[in-house]
Amino acid sequence: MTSLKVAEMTAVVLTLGGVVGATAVPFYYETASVERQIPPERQVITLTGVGHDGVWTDEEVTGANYWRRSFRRARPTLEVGKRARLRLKSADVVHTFYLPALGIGPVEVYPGHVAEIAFTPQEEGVFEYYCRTVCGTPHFNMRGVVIVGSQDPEATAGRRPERVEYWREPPPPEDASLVRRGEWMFRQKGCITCHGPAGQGGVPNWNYVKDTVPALNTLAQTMFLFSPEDVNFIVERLEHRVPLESLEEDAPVPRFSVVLAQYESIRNVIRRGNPAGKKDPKGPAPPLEMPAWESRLSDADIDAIIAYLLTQQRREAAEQTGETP
Amino acid sequence: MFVQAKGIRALAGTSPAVATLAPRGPATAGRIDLLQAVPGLRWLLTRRWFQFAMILPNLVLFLLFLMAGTFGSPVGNRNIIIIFVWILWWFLLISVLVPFLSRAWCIVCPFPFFGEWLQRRALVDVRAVDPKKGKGGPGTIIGRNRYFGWNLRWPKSLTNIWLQNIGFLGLCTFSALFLTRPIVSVGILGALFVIGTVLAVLYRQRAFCNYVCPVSGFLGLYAMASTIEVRSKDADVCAKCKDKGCLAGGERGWGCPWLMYPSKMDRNNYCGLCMECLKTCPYANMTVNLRPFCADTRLKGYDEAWKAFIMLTLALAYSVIYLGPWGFLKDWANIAEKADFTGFLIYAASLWILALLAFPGLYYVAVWLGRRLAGADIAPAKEVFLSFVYPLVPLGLLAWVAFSLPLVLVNGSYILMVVSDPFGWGWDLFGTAQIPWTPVIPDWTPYLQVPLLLVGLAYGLKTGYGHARRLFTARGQPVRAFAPVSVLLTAITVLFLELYLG
Repeated sequence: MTSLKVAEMTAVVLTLGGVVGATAVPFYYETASVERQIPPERQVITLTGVGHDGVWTDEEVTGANYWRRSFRRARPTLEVGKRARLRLKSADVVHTFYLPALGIGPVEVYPGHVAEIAFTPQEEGVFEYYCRTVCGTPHFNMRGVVIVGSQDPEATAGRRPERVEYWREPPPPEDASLVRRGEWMFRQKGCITCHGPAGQGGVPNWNYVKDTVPALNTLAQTMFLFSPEDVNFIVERLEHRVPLESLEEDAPVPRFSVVLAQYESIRNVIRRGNPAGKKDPKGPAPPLEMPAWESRLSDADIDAIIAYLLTQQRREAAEQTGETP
Repeated sequence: MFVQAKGIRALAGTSPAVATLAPRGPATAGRIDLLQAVPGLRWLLTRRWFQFAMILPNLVLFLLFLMAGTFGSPVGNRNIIIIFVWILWWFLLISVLVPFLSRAWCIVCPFPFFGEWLQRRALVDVRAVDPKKGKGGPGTIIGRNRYFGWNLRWPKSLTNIWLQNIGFLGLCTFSALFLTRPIVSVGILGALFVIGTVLAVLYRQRAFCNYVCPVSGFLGLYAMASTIEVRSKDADVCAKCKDKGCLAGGERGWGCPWLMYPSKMDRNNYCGLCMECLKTCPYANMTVNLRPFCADTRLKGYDEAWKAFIMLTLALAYSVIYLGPWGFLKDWANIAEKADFTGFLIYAASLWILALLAFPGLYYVAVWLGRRLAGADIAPAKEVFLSFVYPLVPLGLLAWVAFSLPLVLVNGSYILMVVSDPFGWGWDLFGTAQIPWTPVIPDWTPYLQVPLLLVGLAYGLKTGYGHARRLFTARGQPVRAFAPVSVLLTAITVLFLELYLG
């Protein structure tokens, strides 16, 4: 055999080795390194934060599938008393994983890094996890449950937020009413996930002084607007972009100065956010807080949301009696 | 499949590259023969395994990139395919390889690897055959080598770089997409592998590299400015040579895969530096020279001229979009994230009109004005136009270097990160995965860009004026003829300076 034939055979072997090596070695290394790090007696859960879907998923997120599909929301199940290791990844932006009931987090999770937490669940239950960094429009959807033991999740998880891809809802037509625009905004911005459908509230908030996120469908009462006429008056003025302050002298609404003060107060809470008070001062911070919307909502947007919420009580009452609201 | 072997003379006569070559001897002024000056270099370059040994590591690396783009993190700055290909590779290519080493990238380029393997059924070996005795048997005999596949001739109407021009412009229109999404880069690189392989099976030799590869187009153009070349040492030796091994191949190597006639080669444009001619020349008359910057100064067709227009337009457009303060332009270009189809349409149409019509039109007016000012119609209009477009080669090349410099300085720390964690899976192979993003001397970048642009302008003016003196011989004519183009070149440079210093 000539030296050139030997060189040719060597080249073929090297080529095939290179192709196989480039395609197989990374997976082998990844599998081997994870297995090396984690003792066999541990339960391993890998969760990846996916910003565009608003989920922590237990599916593999790669460059090939990230852009073309949605991912399953993870519902990991753990055994009581068995050591577990949580491996947290991000597929896109910075997320913050928080599982307060099990004392995990908040943990910042950066793309390209794996944050690992070892823990041992001590009691059965269904425990909510969250993302604590506003990571995009679907952020408020970024919640799920960890099940420890074999309890029925639906029985213990409390009131679940409506499962809608709110961030993908198309906007209403240009000529839609202020209330209609407010309704869309309430859903599209994700308010719905914490404050519940139509602002009914009831979403559990761990260690929050009121236990659940406040309902907003009673906003009319909060603003001292007790009659439908009063609500209509305010909504119409907001619709026509009339500053409510300019009406202080001759508004037909009783105790208008109080209404005005409440209106300003609500606008400020939406603009600047509001930390959730702790029920147990020594316990973890409640996972759900009112974020500041100043940079993401204009004053007109905020008025639209207020107008929508003001009409909710009336609408619910009308629905109960079968009347047209 | 067997096709009657052509005679070597006929092969030379029908080679499209040969047909366009002027029968002139190689210029040797200011050249240093590197094969004489560097001990061992001739030995290395004439090893049959040389190119294979160069390509293989790169092939493995690019396969790794494809794997990382497909299975790794979707985040661009955490995936090696984005950082290595579009930041490191691009910077090295445009700033180091092309200006100093001509088409050295083509030596290591992995895209035609599988196609050439199928075509030759050999990685380092040579399939030599005596055309008179070797009839029969599998494959096609071309010159004194046997090839496999269909070995069709590339359509004559496409023996230019227009496909490369349009392909590159088309690709660059979607730059925001492939610069941020690893999977899109996988699509592009994967397509280059597939197209390169398919074309090698269908057509003769490096048809893909010569006429289709979008990277090859601008490499060829800017390689004209490069400081190395492969040339024959003595034209007389070539003229008396009966063997023509550089063209026809033989036992020592393959006939020029780029369909060039190496012994008469006088430009770098279509020489892929595969070094086959060094191996096949029976007189060791082919060599690698070190030469001055911008030694090749003749554009030979409108396809090459338009490549120069497209490249400079893209350098300008990218500087505006990616380095400029106009966020809305970035949003327009970023169709995938922003989904602003109207904006994208405006951006894409503006880019194409500027590159293919407006800029060439403006340039044509400047050339026409120069000829009018010179008051002479001695030189053919096409030759004047092509000669005066040449200054866009050094200016364009240096403008690209100036544009690429901040990209690598600002994003260079990502290179260290992805070296340790190529897939974005949380590895830390070399302890550099946790390095924070650290821009390098961002405040000083303009002071590096300014001299680069001025050097480009200086070479543009020098070579353009050289052409003017060659084409317009009467007293005062060269200055008048070149004046409008020189004003335009200066204005373009000022525009870049304004952008970078603004």
